[in-house]
Amino acid sequence: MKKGFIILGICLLIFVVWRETQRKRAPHVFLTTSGRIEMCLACHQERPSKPHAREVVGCSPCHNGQPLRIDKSLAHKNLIFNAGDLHVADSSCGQPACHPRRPEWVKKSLMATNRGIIDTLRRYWGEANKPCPDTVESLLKSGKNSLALDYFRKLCGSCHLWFPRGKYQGFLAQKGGGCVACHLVPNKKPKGHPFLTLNIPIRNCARCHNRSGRIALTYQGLYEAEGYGTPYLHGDFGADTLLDGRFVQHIPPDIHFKKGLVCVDCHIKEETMGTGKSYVHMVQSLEVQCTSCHGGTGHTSKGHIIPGFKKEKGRSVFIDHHQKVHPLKPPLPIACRHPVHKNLSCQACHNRHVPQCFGCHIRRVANEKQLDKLSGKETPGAWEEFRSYMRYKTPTLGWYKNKIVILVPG
Amino acid sequence: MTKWLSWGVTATLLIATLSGIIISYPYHEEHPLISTVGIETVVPFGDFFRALHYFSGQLTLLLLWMHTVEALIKRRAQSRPWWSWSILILSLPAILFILFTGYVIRDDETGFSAGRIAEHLALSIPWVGKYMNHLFFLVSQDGVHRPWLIHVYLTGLVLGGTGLWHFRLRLLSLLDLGCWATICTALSLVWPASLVAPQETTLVKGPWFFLGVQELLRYLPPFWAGIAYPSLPVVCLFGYYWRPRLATLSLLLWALSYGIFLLMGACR
Amino acid sequence: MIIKKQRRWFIKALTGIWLGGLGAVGLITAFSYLPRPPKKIFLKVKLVPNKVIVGPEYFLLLSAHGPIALSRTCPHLGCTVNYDPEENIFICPCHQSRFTLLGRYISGPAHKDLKPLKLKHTDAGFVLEIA
Repeated sequence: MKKGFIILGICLLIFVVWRETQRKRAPHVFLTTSGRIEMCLACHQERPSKPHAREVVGCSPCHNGQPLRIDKSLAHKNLIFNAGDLHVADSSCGQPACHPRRPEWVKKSLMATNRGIIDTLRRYWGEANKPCPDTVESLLKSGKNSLALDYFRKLCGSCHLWFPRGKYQGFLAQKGGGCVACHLVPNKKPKGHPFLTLNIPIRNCARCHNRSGRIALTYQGLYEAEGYGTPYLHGDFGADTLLDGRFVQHIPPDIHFKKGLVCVDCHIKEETMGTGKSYVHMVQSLEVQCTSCHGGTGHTSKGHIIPGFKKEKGRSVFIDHHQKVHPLKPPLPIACRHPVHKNLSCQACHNRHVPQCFGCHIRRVANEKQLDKLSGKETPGAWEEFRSYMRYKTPTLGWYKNKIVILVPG
Repeated sequence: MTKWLSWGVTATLLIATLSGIIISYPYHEEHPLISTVGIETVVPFGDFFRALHYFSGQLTLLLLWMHTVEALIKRRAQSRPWWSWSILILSLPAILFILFTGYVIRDDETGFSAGRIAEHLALSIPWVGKYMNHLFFLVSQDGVHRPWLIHVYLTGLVLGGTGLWHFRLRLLSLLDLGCWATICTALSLVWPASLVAPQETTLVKGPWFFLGVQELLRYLPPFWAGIAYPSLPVVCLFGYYWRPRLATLSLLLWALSYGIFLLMGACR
Repeated sequence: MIIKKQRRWFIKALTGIWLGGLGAVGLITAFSYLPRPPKKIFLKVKLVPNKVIVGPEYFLLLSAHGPIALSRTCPHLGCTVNYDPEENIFICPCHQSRFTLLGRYISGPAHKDLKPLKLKHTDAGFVLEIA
């Protein structure tokens, strides 16, 4: 018995020596600039963007894991691939030393809750008669379903911040992911660490804001054409296609786009990420107005500062995210300030055309299955979109809160 | 007396000491956590010897505990003079203290908090608290320097004391040492030695045997929860020589209550 | 004979005093420690209301009465107190004592407030003194 133990001991010693020869030891203990130990850097060469530089932040504050180990199986314990995912963002991006409370606020913002879409659907479909408390988060937890919610889960369920980035193929692969849904710019090098940015490119916004009002398309001068791909040129479709296969044609873009401004130049963080308040509809969370900058003082309707607005030598200018300076034109004294136009919103005159999908319809095919994008399961009943016509036309004007505004049906 | 148990304690303590000597070379008390991580990740065979040190130390405590229970069951106290019994009993808190300082001197999340708590507990002892703290901890002023000294010196004392005791009868057989070395090696190959990265959490757990005290510290003043209550069993063991029944009953009650607190602490 | 015995006893006692005294004097050396010089930290940060700057040994924030710095050492047993953004309070991870952002004690075994640290606001930035 004891001899057996001794022989086993010798075998274990041989194993220990063999294991050591197979191992790559770190050259030294890796420290960040603040003196925190970060052994991940012994193997990982990734270089994220400046504010999250590897020498300053390291890997584990965002991606968790065990920063004191180098054995892969130990070091990668509790690893988080997407640190921006809202399920973990409180302890990754939102940790006390970094961006505290921000994820908590973002979770209450409309891009995470989708309350506007859910409320409108449920009320118009007769399932509710007062503002619904349902949010994407509550639906994910409860699994609650109804006809309107089934439609939401299958056709709208990928346009929110809770959507798991990279879980699905095709155009869905780039969507969602919490903080990184907006703040991530891919690295062109294969397997390179993506960059995190405050200069959020339009294409990040356009991944979702391309339906209903189609604001991100129109802004860039893209018009979603009917689904034929005409005019045919050189034996192929003449129209450009979006990632999800829809055809678009080029029209004159918004003046702000032409001047080089991106969405987040005007739509400030209080508006997009929220301030911890929970709204039902987008109109409640919108606070930037044309007159905030044009003839205004650079403050939104809720008093927040628009960082791009500056006073230079007595005149108002706008400095965009690329540090380019644009002069700001005040509203025309006669056309805009005239008493007869006092009820007009700026858009009523300046938005000459908007996409209009009066011919857009949906139908439910009962005997087919479709992916429920919240639960990730195929369930009975498939929703299909079809349309007779889609136009890019002068908008319908309507009366909303004592102003004449444009109405854009989606 | 089951011989394997008493020789087990000696063998594992010897293995812990030898492996401790090995890893004390790359260890720097000036930057304890950095050098501990260095042992774990940079030094060849470092993680193996650290785990061997860790598990042989844990095993020493467990075996010594079993050894004590066995001595109580077999009424060994009555067959020796009271001072000899008292000295033997002292080995239990000494080993526990060595193990505890072992956590402190690695200076990770667990060790750092454990050191700070130990310092404040020592200070809560009336009159001599300040001197005790100066002798054993003082981590807030002096880092892990003093716990490190105690870890080393006390091991020497205990090994010398118990070694004299046991080797007086017979030398530890090389075969026994080999067998226990195999057991410790097997344990260290299955599990890594614990090491917790400093983090911004709202819950830190101490060493496993300390969890009961940690739980109690939430409700009672430091002196009662951290000094008086944990020293009860030692007092009982001393008293066992004179009042075996009362001491046994108190020990059982204490063990039961500590078991409950330990579970409560572990489940947090 | 008796004198010799007495002398032997006397010498023994003297040796005891000599060696014991040597040990006792040695203990005094062991008990004492060299105090570290107080640590001063220079911080160049912009404080915003409701945002806590978490340093390794301090919290720095803007209160209604201006900037304040708090020690992260828990007044209970000395663990490092952490900031919990969810509840917007400070929590000690060891025994769950809770404190407001101004360092006031709320609950748990600590029963004392977090200690404020000496903070100087200079033109170049903040100078924090950690005792």
